[in-house]
Amino acid sequence: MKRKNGEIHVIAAVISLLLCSSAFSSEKVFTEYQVKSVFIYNFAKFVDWPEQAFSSEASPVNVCVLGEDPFGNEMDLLTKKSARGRGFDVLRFSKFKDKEELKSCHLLFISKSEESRIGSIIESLSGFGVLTISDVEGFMDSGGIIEFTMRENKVRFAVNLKASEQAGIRISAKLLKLAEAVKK
Amino acid sequence: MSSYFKSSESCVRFLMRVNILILSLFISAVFNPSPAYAEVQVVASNDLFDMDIVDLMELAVTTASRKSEKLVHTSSAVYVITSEAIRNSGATTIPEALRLAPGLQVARMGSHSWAITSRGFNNAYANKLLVLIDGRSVYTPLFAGVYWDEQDTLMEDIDRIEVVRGPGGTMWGANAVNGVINIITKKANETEGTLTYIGGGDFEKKFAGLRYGGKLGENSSYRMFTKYDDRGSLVKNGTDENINDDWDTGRFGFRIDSEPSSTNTFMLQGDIFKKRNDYTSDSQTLKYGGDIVGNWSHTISEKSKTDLQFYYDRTEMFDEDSSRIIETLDLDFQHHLSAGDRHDLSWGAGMRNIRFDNENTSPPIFYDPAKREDSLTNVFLQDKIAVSPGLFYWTVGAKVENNPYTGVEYQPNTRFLYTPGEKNVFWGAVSRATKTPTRADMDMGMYNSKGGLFLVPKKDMASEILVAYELGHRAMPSEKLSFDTTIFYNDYDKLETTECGFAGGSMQCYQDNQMYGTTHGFEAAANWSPVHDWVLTATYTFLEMDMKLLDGSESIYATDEMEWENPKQQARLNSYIKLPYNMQFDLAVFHSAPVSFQLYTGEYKLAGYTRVDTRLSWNAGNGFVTSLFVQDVLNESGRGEYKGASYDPSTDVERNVYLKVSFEK
Repeated sequence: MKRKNGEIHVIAAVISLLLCSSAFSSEKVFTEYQVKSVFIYNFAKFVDWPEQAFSSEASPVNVCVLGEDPFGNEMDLLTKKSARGRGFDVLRFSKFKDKEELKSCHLLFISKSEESRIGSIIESLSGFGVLTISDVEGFMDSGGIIEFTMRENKVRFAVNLKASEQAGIRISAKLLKLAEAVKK
Repeated sequence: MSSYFKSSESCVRFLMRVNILILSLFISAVFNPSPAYAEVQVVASNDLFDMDIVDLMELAVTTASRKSEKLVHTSSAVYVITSEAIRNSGATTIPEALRLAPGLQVARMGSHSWAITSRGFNNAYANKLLVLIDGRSVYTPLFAGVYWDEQDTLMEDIDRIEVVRGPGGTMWGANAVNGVINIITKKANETEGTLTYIGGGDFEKKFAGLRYGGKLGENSSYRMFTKYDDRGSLVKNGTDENINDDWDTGRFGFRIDSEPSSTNTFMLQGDIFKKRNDYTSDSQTLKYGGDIVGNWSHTISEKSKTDLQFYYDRTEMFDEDSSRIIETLDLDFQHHLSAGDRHDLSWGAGMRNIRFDNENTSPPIFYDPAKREDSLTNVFLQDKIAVSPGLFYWTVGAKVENNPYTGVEYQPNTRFLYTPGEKNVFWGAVSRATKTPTRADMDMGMYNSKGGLFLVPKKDMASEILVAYELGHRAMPSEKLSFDTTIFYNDYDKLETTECGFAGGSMQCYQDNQMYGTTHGFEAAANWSPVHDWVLTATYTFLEMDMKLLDGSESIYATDEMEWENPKQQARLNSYIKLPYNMQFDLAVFHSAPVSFQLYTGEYKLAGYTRVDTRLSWNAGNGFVTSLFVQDVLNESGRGEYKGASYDPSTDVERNVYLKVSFEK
């Protein structure tokens, strides 16, 4: 809720009110990856995969984590959720071994531990309908589709539209609007 | 005094006045609120899934560590001081923040002067360090040391300080002999909104700052800041007597970042400052300065990127009977490209123009010539070769620099990086770095009381040469634990000395290169988070110096004196712990081994000491934070950290208590 103009009086009033109230309210603080896992859930709502990406109408969205898993158990909460009529399966791969096993992923989160191999991972997945996501700096420039960044403790993301088109993935305009940057 | 001085002085004064006005208007606005309502959102963990993505984007989260992962894979000894660590330390100046890094020796000599070095050779004029603020070199070309009192910005705007121990000459250039300190400020789009703080205490008498940032159109952001600090004086060793080095300083600056397309980013920033310090009880020194930095990054393709940067920097010093003006203009170009699968190439070229005006020096010091203009040029090429991608990298590169004092200098290096698995990184390097003579070495002279020459300017000094050997290991056994250790062996040649002898009945000195020797050491840093909300960091530094003089040298500075001026061991422990009720308690314990100095009054010893800093802060919510800092808790009676900056044998640093209230929205 960032003020763009100098609404100093309003801000000041909010502070003085909150100064009294916040001492009593225990605001829940979420961790970065807790929130990022929910972002990934939301991405599934705004994305159309190519038809051949799913074996049937009911088959689940496969969410994969490649490399050291920063989410802990947070990602497993997804298995109890559904988006657009599909459930979720969570798969974890500690290392990039075989590109074939990754091709079953609809959403692939590539951990920072894989930073040095990102180029080759992306290259081997190009054209296979895998929505690649990472918070490695420069991920989008290496051909990744969605790159997470942190701005003042808030999660932001940028989209590489060209890469998503190559993968045959359609990203809704609403999501693109929320992206901090869209690479065309 | 020149007419230029009068005009620029009044300009700075005017801007300072305008800023103090804005600041006071703002503060009065904050404390005279008008009614409005507030919205407090409390969400349970599982309900995150029910939040709209738009709301999700406004949710502030905690980040476990903001350490840049890239640095883990760097083949040099890097330590990153994060913005959080700076905030928690309570450092109100850049030099005080540098106390957080291992391998550095930071000693306060006066209220506004510090001796700071990496891997030995500390001195008020320590000259083997390259210090950059957003790519702008801030060591003075006059003697290659840093006027730390001139280096400042809003501490909250600092994104991180990267401290590289050891040579960085190939990538960074001249003077990066023993280390590089890279101060990087946040981008303007990371500082939108308002930040203000106000505070005061016994030594940090009073201070205030204000930053405002926002959007400029769709693709650009800006921020402006102003700050003011008023600090007290240190005391004469063992007494309560002030040495009269009180100072106050004000600064105004801005930064604009723009990304008109995904392939181009632009940055423009600048600042001006004024600093006033007491010199004796009835005289003052004034400093004015300003700089402007521009940068254009262009992505040609996914594998090719260029950076073009320019800056202009001007500093002026005036006291009762002397003045000094230095201007620097710098242009730098770099190109990174991946060639094939295995080569990560960087090359670049730069030029720098420096103008010195020392016409108005205070006797007995003089410069010959009194004014001077120097031009320097450099080119560099470096290749990081993926010998076995993901496992073994080999880097080789060199910088060639042409300077007006010694001509062409070569600074090559070779490095390796070995990453067997996810949890270990090994690296090593052999590099050659040079410290070229400066104007003070070559052109400065001094008269004696009879009007003869005491210090004769010598025009044929050579560069100091270092060949450094380093080995490092980083281990990350778990998400919660990491280690970083480095050993080094440095071999120096042609180190500068001041040679003195009797000529015609009076003493005469000149600068020369008659010292050589080695240093070796060990540096370690560890990070451990035993439980959630508690982070511990520890650092340890060991340094041993072995210096020798050439046969026949008549250096006034004995080599063993230099060896004793640097503590052999330093250790530091930081604890950051989150408490209930939005409180945080931070504790830092620092220990330094003893040092001793040979002064004209005799040997002066400083015992080893332990320094304890604390901070207790309360986050009142929605951007309001109150912090109480008690620095050097145990130091009731005062003690020295180094010999004094002026002619006093030493100054004492005392316990320092201050309160800070900040607000960010």
